[in-house]
Amino acid sequence: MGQTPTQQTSPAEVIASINLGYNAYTDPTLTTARQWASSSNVFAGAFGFVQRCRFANVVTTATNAYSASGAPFLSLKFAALPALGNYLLGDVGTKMWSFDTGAAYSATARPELLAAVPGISYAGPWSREFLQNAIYEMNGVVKQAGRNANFALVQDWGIDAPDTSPQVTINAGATAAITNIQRTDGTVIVNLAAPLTVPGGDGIGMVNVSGVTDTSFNGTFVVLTGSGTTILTWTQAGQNTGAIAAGNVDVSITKSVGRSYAWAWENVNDSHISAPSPSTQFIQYVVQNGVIDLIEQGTVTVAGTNVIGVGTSFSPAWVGKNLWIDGTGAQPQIIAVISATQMTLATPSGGSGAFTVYDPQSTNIRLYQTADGGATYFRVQRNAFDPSQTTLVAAGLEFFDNAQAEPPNFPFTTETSQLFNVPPPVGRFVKEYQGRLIVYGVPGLGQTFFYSNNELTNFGLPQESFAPLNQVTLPIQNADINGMAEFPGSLIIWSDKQDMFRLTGLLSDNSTATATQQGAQIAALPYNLGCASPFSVALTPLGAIWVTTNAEIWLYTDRYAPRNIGRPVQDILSNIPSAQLSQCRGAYYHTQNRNWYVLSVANGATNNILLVLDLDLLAANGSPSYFVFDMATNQPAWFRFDIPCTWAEPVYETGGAVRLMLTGINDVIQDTDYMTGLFGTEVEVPDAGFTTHAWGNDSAFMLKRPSWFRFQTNQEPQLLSLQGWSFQTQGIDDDVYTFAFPLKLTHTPGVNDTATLCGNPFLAKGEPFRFSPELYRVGGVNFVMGRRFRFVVNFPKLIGVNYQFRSIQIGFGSTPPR
Amino acid sequence: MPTSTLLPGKEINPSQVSLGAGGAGPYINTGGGGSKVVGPETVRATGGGSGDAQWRQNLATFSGGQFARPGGSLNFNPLSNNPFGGAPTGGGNAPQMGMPSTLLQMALGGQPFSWNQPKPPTASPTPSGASTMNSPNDWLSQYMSQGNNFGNVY
Repeated sequence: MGQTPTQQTSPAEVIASINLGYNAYTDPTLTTARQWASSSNVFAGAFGFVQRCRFANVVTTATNAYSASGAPFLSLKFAALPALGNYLLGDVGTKMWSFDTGAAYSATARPELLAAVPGISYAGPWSREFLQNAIYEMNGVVKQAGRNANFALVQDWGIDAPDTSPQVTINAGATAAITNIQRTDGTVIVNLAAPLTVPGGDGIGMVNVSGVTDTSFNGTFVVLTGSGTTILTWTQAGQNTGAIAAGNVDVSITKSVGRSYAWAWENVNDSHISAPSPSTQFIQYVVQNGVIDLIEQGTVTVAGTNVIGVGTSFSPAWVGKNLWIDGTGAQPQIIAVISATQMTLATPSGGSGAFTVYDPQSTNIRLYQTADGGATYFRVQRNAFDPSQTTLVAAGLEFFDNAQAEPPNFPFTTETSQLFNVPPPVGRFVKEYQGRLIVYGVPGLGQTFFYSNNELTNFGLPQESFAPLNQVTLPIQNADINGMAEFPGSLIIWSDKQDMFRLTGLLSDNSTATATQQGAQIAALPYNLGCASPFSVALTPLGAIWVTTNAEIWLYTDRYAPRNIGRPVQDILSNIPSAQLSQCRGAYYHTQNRNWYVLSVANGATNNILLVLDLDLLAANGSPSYFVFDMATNQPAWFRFDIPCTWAEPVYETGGAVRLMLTGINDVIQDTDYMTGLFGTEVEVPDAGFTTHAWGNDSAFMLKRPSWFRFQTNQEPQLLSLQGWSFQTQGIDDDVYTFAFPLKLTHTPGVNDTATLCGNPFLAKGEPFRFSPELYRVGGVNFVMGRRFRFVVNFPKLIGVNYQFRSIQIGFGSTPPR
Repeated sequence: MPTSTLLPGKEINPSQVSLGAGGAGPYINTGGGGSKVVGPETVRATGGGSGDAQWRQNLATFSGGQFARPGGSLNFNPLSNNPFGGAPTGGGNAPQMGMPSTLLQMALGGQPFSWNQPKPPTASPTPSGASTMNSPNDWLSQYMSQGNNFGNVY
């Protein structure tokens, strides 16, 4: 059977999979055309083609409820709350915002509790961690926690312990003989021989019953009715009884050693309790009872915004708290403490008398007391705190102790005071690890990190409590802790110099009682790699990636020695001004066919380059344990986006989309990886394109004279001209035409492509199998030749389309092969 | 009302803590009968520098608030390296009593350092009282265990 003879073909080459990205590290005579000599705003991937970025403005000055600050956002944080929404938190200028991704990024201004305090700044960057449906955030000046929709319920992170022991007024007790006592349906009714006034009154005050022949009556009870009369009632579960005529009811306490008190604030909405106040001395009652007032030392007089104290001991720790005065009630916020007797309120007010200071998040007060001569403080009473009330008792600042009882009897509970519920210091950085929050960057304590409680907090929120000894100081000479990465089972800690540590084992709360039971170990790693910024660290599926203090990008897997994966972009990293190195911001971003580590860096005064590392291509080289890059034919694939980028943050929208949000332009948050249909206003991307490294390096001894080129895109060839594509071939002969000054041939669709120049205006859009706007012949004025060729691809700037470039064909015959 | 306080910035003197100015001791004998007021007693953080004022105050309350203060109010620097008997607060700078705040103290899994008495040389082949220098093994054993090359010198 005869066969159609094969047509004579001319030699041709195809350069495809041009996806290895930017490489300014390797000698340009060693690289391949799959690598890029330069690029801007394009990326590639394991899929093989090169795609132009798409940018969209998501938050602008036109965003609902947003008011402009005239500055770029300095930090972003994505956080979502169950059944409430997915939010993007951002801070710009001195304002803090939340944007609801499920409501067209509608803005909500987040409260700034200390805005009136001189010297307090809410400027970013903020370091944030999300734990137990709250966002915990610090910026080196302010620490706070946010809850509820848009995290708009902002409170202090933890509740400061009361700093003063309660005042105890000791009064004479009283006793009345029982004429008869009877229990019916859970209510005890007692008739007394004389009226008995119960300090605290009905519903609050307690009485002691003793000497009743039916001993089930004996004990301490809260009087329900009848204080000041001869008939008292209280609730007591038990069997119904007949009337019994024996015993006494008293409001007297007698102790051989004494009873000590302490108290604590409580936020019932968050289920948090502060550490207790200083304890009182032991009160050795002798047929007496006590009135416990939760007031500070001395008295104050408020005139305007000035507060003058007499016998007071004002504390600088009161700044930001509110003042409450007996007889007047709630006062404005304290914004300055000048001396032990003088302070300033945020707004004018008036009043004088005994006083206390409180955190506005406090809703309740817990009173603790010891057994007779005991050292353990058990909760005995709990008041609602209402600062709008003007008297101690109405505000909940007064307790009455008439109870003779000893633990475990009522009113004692088994709840002990939470000594270790100490709020954290204000630092610059917070990191979640093993369900604990780690705080570092505390002014003056740069070598130390502090971690939140777990075991030592029995009541209250452990993540808002930092036992004083929950701290580790690293031996890092003159360095400060400057970065952490959490791996499963270990924590990597960097300094801002050359230190790198690995913490393993379970962090456990530390006290003098548990100091010998610490399970965590810290090992210094021998790599001499510091961290330029905690914000440059991102944990990826391949390991932690961070920027070192000498402007390199390294990958650490927690198992193998770190790898420098930033060499292809080292020229860009080396251009970061030293003062801007700490501004590097990294993030891990993954959606669909993007699997990126992104790093925003500065090439000037502000961050203006976003470096993108394709992790799929990195992983395609095997395991990080044996990544081998010869840097000539293979390398970590980096792409460069030229865009203002002070911060990069992946956002998981309510609708399910995953987006990479960038800041940098005043009052704008941009999606750097926009896809059609998502919320936002897409913007043009000018000057996007790339230049390949040279083709022909492996045969540079031979001069090549191509006869045609084809530049293949994902667009209809007839649209190339309309969209604005252009291409260029750069010939390098190593004789006259060099890498710096190559022979250039520009290929412009609609100008010098084969379809336009075919001579038939009706075929300007191409002819099947012959002419195309993407096919260019070389000859005449369209001349280029050389030993090596580089190719330039310039993408359209228009919106609405995923512009992709696929391959370059180089032919050496008169026409393309058929 | 006990109001004796130390000057701001002055470190607490343990003797002042244990011996109250009023001599009342840690127990208030109320004497029975009528009304008597035990006034509020403050604990205040002195010093400055490291950390924020709220945190220093919380540390002071933690450290100085857990025991009766016969002298009344108490002012001290909770970040001082001069412990006074209150609960240790660390302070973020090693060394500090009671806390594993350095790698040195955190070593060996955070366990406290222990030092084992060097074991005496195993049964010497030499008769009791004889020189241990008779055997090279004995000499090496002494050298390794006592850090000097002349066993039995000390």
